[in-house]
Amino acid sequence: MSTIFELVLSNVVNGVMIGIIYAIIAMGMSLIFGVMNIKNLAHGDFAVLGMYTSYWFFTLFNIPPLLSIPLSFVIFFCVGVIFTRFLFKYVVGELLGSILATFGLSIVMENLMLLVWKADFRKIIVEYGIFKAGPISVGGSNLLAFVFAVILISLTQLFLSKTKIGIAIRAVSQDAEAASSLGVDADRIRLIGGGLGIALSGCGGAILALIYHMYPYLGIQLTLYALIICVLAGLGNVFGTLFGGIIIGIAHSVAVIYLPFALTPAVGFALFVLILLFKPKGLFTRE
Amino acid sequence: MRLSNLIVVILIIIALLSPLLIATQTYLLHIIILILFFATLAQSWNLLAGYAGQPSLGQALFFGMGAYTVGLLTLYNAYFRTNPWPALILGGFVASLIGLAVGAICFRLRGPYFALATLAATEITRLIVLNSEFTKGAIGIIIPVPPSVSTPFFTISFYEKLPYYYITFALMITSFYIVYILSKSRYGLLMQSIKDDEDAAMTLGVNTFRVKLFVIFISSFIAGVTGSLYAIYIGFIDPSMEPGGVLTLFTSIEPVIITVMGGPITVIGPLIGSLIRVGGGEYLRILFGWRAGMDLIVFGILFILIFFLVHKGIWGFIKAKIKPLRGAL
Repeated sequence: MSTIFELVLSNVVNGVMIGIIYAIIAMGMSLIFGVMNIKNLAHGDFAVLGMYTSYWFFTLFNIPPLLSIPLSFVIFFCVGVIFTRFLFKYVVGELLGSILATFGLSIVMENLMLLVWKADFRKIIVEYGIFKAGPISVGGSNLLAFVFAVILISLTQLFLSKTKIGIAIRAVSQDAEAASSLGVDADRIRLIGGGLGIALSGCGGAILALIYHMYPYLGIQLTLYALIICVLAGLGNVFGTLFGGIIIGIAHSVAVIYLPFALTPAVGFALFVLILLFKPKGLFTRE
Repeated sequence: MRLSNLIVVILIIIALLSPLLIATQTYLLHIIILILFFATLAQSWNLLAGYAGQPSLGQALFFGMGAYTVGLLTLYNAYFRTNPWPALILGGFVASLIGLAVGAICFRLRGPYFALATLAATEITRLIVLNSEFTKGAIGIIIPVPPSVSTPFFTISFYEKLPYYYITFALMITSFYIVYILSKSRYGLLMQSIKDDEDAAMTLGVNTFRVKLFVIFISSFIAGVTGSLYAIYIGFIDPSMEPGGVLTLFTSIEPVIITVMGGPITVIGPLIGSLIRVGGGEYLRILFGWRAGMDLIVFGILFILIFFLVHKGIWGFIKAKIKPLRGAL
């Protein structure tokens, strides 16, 4: 009895840890959806690119993955600004257009990564030991990933709620026209919001690389999780994604105890449909 | 007879006769058959998402259920191994039952919430099929080639491509005709009212739930029959191998891409989109196939470019160009 309890507890802890990383990626998607009204189908591919960036830093330049996490944030912010300026900007608010453009981008990125890194499974191999607290044992790299994830989410929250630019981003998300009539430069805010969204995805990928293996086709799976989490939280609700991510993460890792590993994502999806039936517009949207 | 009807009849006659000329070029015929398959699948999405405004991402579920109906029937029942054709209709009905169930649950949701819920339903089904002994899991099911049919004048051998061309073509024409008739009927207006403003339609006394169920019934039936026929034609199905697994996300997105490229909310759009997506994709594979994935990179870039060139799909673009010409005449 107590062993099962310990197992569940330990898996819940691990679920929170993986869920919070999904939440970072979903947060980026939610931001982009907010400022530009785009469902970015290439979002997961940016995360995978972040994983590979971290991998290359480690294997080519011997930069430890802990350092490459902040580095990847900066790099992907620039990448995001460039993509926003030259691609996303032209599909703002167009449902079908944005699907076509971002899905095209996803195909291009996926196959470019296949070209560069081949279809092998890769992993950054670093040992940070195992951390034990009572009945719960957690891998050291999981714990580090968790710490980084919490820092990143807190900083994002601070940025969005305290700084002038962050408040402007939220204003544009709510109503772009009203915001521009009040003197907010919506185009500039979109550049920053898009950059931040992609940066969160890339940086989330770099954190994920600490604990997960990478392969080029992982992107579509991450996009799917991010979409599910965004919708669960209510579209455009940036902070709700945190809870959405944790719910999905816990669902996956607790289901592992009772079901074969390959079936666990199904539990997440079933939970998602179930929650939507009771809250048709997501968990944190006011009716 | 109106000019446009005449053009359609002439095109159909050409489509019926021309494959006889290329009957020996099996590769070309195979690509054409695939174009017809995906045009039909895209049309089923066009009806549900284009005309009725319900952006389903679960078309692979209906397609896959049709395919698996044929697969399981031929696997467990000896009769269907000698005559799989009744399974086509059964596959359609199984798919449309699933469609009704999905609709009954997911139609409470709107827009992107609906899309993601249908996608989740597909993923759940895929994972169950993938991990079940009954459906042979990731091994997949091999469907035997249907035995030849003899008529007094000639024998139809299903080892050849030509019979499949005619069957697929008939299926495509039928589905296009159904969508055309529906769009012109009372249901066309009902669907449009739901797409434009569901709440307004409800206050005017439209039973939107029933209309949506009817639309998903037809749409999933078409997708299901297409899936069944696809299973017989390809002769092998599996849930999630990329690409080609019948229940993958890719199979759900493919009809979206095809329809959006060709021109949504037009009857002919899916065929044009399929021509470009399947035909063009195959051509690029010949050109750039020397490096794995190279053709897809080029295709993805083309994709983005097509969006920048034509915002309403290719058929919408052509239509807009034709209109002033018509006025001049």
